[in-house]
Amino acid sequence: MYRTLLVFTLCLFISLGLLPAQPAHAEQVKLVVWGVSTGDETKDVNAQIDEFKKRHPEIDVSVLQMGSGAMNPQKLMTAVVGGVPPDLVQQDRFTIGDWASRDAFRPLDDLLAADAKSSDPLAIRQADYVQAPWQETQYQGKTYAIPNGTDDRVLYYNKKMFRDAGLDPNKPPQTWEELIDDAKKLTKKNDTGGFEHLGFIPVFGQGWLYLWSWQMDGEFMSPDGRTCTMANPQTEKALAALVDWYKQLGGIDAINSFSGGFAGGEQDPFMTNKLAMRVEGDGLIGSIARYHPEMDFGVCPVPVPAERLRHEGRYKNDHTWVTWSGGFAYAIPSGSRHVKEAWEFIQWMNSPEAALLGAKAQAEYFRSKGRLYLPPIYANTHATDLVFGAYKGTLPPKFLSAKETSISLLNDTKFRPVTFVGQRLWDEHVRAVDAALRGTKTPAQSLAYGQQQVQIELDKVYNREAHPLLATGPVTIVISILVLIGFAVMGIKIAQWMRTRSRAARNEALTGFAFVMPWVFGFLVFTLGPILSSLVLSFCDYDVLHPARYAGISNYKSIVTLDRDFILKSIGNALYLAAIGIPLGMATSLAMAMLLNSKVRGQNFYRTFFYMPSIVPVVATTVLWAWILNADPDRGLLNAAWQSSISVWFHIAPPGWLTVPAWAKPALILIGLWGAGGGMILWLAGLQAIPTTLYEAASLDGASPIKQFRHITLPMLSPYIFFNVIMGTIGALQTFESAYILGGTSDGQSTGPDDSLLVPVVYLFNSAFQYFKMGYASALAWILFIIILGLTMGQLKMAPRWVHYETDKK
Amino acid sequence: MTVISWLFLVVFGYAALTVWFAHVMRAFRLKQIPLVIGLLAVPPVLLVVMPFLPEALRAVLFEFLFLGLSLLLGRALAPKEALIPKRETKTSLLHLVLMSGSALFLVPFVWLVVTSLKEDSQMAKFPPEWIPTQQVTAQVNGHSAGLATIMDGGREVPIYVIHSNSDGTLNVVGRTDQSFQRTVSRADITQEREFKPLWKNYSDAMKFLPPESHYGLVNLQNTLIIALLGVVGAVLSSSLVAYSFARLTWPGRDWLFGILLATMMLPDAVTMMPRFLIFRDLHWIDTLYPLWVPSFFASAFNVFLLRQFFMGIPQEMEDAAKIDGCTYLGTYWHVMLPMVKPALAAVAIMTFIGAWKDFMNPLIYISSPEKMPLSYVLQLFNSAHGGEPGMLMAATTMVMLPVVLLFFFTQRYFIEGVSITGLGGR
Repeated sequence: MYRTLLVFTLCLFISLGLLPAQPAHAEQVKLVVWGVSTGDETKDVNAQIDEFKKRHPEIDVSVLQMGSGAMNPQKLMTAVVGGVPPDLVQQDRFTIGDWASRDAFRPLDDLLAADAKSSDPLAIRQADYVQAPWQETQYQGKTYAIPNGTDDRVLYYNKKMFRDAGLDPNKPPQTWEELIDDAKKLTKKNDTGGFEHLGFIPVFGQGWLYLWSWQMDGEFMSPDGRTCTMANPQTEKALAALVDWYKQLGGIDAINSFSGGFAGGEQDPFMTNKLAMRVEGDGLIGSIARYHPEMDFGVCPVPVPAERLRHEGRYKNDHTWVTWSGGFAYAIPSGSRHVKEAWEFIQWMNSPEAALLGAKAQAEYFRSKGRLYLPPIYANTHATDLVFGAYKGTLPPKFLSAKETSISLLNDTKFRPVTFVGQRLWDEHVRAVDAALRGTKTPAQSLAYGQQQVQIELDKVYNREAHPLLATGPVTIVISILVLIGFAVMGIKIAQWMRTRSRAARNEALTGFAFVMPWVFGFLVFTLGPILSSLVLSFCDYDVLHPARYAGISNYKSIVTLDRDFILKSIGNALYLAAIGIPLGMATSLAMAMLLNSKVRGQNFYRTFFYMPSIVPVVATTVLWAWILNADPDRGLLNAAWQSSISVWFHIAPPGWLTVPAWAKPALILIGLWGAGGGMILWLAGLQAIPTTLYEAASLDGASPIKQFRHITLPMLSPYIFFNVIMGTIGALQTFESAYILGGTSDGQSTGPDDSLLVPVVYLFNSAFQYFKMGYASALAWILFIIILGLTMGQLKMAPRWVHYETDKK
Repeated sequence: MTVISWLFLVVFGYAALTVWFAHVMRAFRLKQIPLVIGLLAVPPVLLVVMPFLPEALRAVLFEFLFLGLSLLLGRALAPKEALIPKRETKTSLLHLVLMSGSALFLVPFVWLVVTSLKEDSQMAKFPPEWIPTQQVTAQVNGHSAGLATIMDGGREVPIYVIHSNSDGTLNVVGRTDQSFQRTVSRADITQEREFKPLWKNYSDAMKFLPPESHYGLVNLQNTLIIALLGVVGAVLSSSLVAYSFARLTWPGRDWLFGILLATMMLPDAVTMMPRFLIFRDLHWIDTLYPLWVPSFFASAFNVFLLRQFFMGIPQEMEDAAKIDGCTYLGTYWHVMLPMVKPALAAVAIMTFIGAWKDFMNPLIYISSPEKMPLSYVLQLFNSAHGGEPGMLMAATTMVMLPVVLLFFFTQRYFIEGVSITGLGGR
């Protein structure tokens, strides 16, 4: 009776889920917004959205964070490609070029033109905005997003430390020479060779090379966006200056080990008098207000080369100060179904009125917590004026002047080049700076290398146009003809067979065909078709949003040449997991099975406990173990145990598990061992199939248990071992879920520290569903298939040597 | 403690426990009740005596006494038996090892639940705390204040924590002495804590899910839909196809079966992308269809498994049905299916668990929260709130709970089903 009741409730529960979803009110339009965080700390956004809902009762706003901070690119891309995009996204501005180049965002020029003519106070007009953020959302002459917030970079200096070092706290450095001189005076080493406090760390915080290079007028990309110009002489000079500064201030190793101990939040080095000067975004003002409002600090524009300050030579007509801005913007994905409502949302959220409303809510919240409220900077200058004007009276003088300085610099602010290789350019420039600072390459060499890498990416996309469109017509015709021929041949053979059989046999055959149809249909549609099309795709360049282009073997060529290191690394990782994980896993499950094979009471209980971990969803297991393997002994259970035992006995520090490349894969294997109980059942079955007579005979002949194990158990189990080795290898090479979840951040790169958790399928997945390089991903898949096939064939060939089948077993 | 002493303690401890347990088992077998009671009383007695033993040798003495008392009792109350029970020693040791092994495997689960009930302040503690506690609170002048103590000139003063200020200091007031009022930093006080699990973590976890998922119920629903529909599809289609391969004769049968076997070696990655494109053309992206519809087309593994079973059924059954005029479909439904119930159960269970655990397919196809199954919504939660272990572990527990409960109630079918897979052919 209970069973039927359970089944009935279950069915009811499920059928409720199958009903189509209803919006809150029948006439409401559902506006889906991604990339905006709402929560307890964001009272401003909450207030703004609530007000919007009040003014637009016909719109039901549904906000989803979709990953912390940056918009999860894979989710957005899949949604756009799949035809079900959100209606509006908030996106980091410097990636807009990337999305625009793929036509993933809708150009907004028509909406802007309508607003230019309208008299609506909320209308969006370019003149209302800070120019740099606006320019950052332009791609090939069209507007793809509307900026909402912005920031810039300034130099913070610790007035107290200035006084202690004998420097005038009201005269911060203005040129590079003054900066380094002051920094040296503000640096003090302690007795053991480390630093007690340091004057300045050039690349710390927001001291990226972009800033220093722009101060020397060195640009990273050509104006038309076709060439990367990172290795130009001005940028080289800037980088050389950075290298020199590090040497003058104490050498990169000493500085890095000092900064390695820096903490955030309350223990920030600037606020705790460890670092006297720092280039940082205006957000630091807020942090100071929160953690150390009593601190005596000042803010000034970042020092520039002396020639620039004096407007000599090439700097004659340049602005004196240089800074750059970043921030977010609202964009409407292609295929959004509620463009009008999305535009209304953007108009409202960017308006000065909404800004003031949000500021009031946030200020009230801060006041209730006893914190000082600092108004933010908006992309809309009127919003900044309104909010700043309302709150400047509440700011203590040092905060007021800091804010005013950073706002004043917005007039001259620059922005990162808008290009679809934005992310790559950023990564390469960081790599170049790192190599130059460490001395592994000269500034010229490292910049040249970086430029070359970026240029390769640029060329790939521009050359794409050179590839011919895939002639889908002829290809389909060829394949259809082959298929028809195949069917015809089969048909003839079947007819021949049928002719020579009785009616009963024919009847049986027809029934057989009918019954097997589900599999055949599935095979043709979900297996054979995809195999063929993936083969065809692997020779193409296809990103789903545009028609496929035939590209010959260029995909395979890039796998073997350009990306060879990446590929080899991923295969190496997978083989490591297989080579170490499979034997360990098998040994564990076999040990468990042997223990359970004896007739002890309560065997069922033990079996349950050992088996349970393997039925838990992989996500849950991974999340749990990520917590257990936390590298900090204060938090991670395993390292706590290590600290109290192994550290004490052998003086080996607890390993960093998932934070350190050397231990990331062992961590993955360890997690797999917890689920080894799953395989235990198979071994149990195998063990029980071994006739006991063999053991009896052996013990009569005086064989010890170990000898019995080696000569009876293992050979009799060899078919199972063989099966496990093959399935295990195939499985290990296709590891995905645990590697993806452990290695990952939500903004895309799921590969672990130093790519130690990069496994082939994760790389494939990212290529296919994040960058949508379907052709390239198909080529990867085929290479993986060939490798797996090769390994399996190899194992099959080796089998007769060690796998023992009982001749009287079927 | 050095390695040697730790190893010695562990080995000796196991030996002592084995002997003790073996004695208990033999006493039960020989029905010697006084001996049983005496032996069972040994651990509690020793625990009471333990604090009186000198600190340095406490563990060693404990184990020594344990072993000694067991042997003494055995000799005293059963003088005719051997000092160490031979028969029961092996079983006893086996039990011990199994119990230790299970405990080791269960530790992560225990840690999961414990973490989910702890406050954030308890998370970063060394050595790790296994008991969730919270600060004791009391009502003082209409406000809730925490209880603590502070060292003042060598004395320990009990205080109430009245207010926490924005610069990180605390206002405290003496509990017994009202005139004792100070402003101190957090590091100076020691909180008084009591055992009190933080159930709020669970309600917070549900609250932080997107509103469309109605506190996770919708996600549970989605997972159930995928799992149950998947089971229905798999069982029906695989058995039908397997029957055709096993029992019906038709041209090309063995050749097609070879192809079926070959597809088992195909990595999913090869077909992943074109499948995405197919579902896109069907407008099934961001729906649940791609997750359960393919199971209605018979997977190679299930067909292979069921075929083995069908081949093991005696031909006579079918012939009898045929003679009685049963159609092939009828034979399949009324005769063959009931005879392979264990195998069907195995297929059903493996499909169910597989669908429940599936992460990659929802990752590819689903983006709206109201369509996400539990496994995917947990990963979303992890990336959004990964830094809040209490809430994260609460969410993880809730995701694990249904499947673990199901496992407990249907264990027998689970394990039998999987072991049948291993036995395979007859």
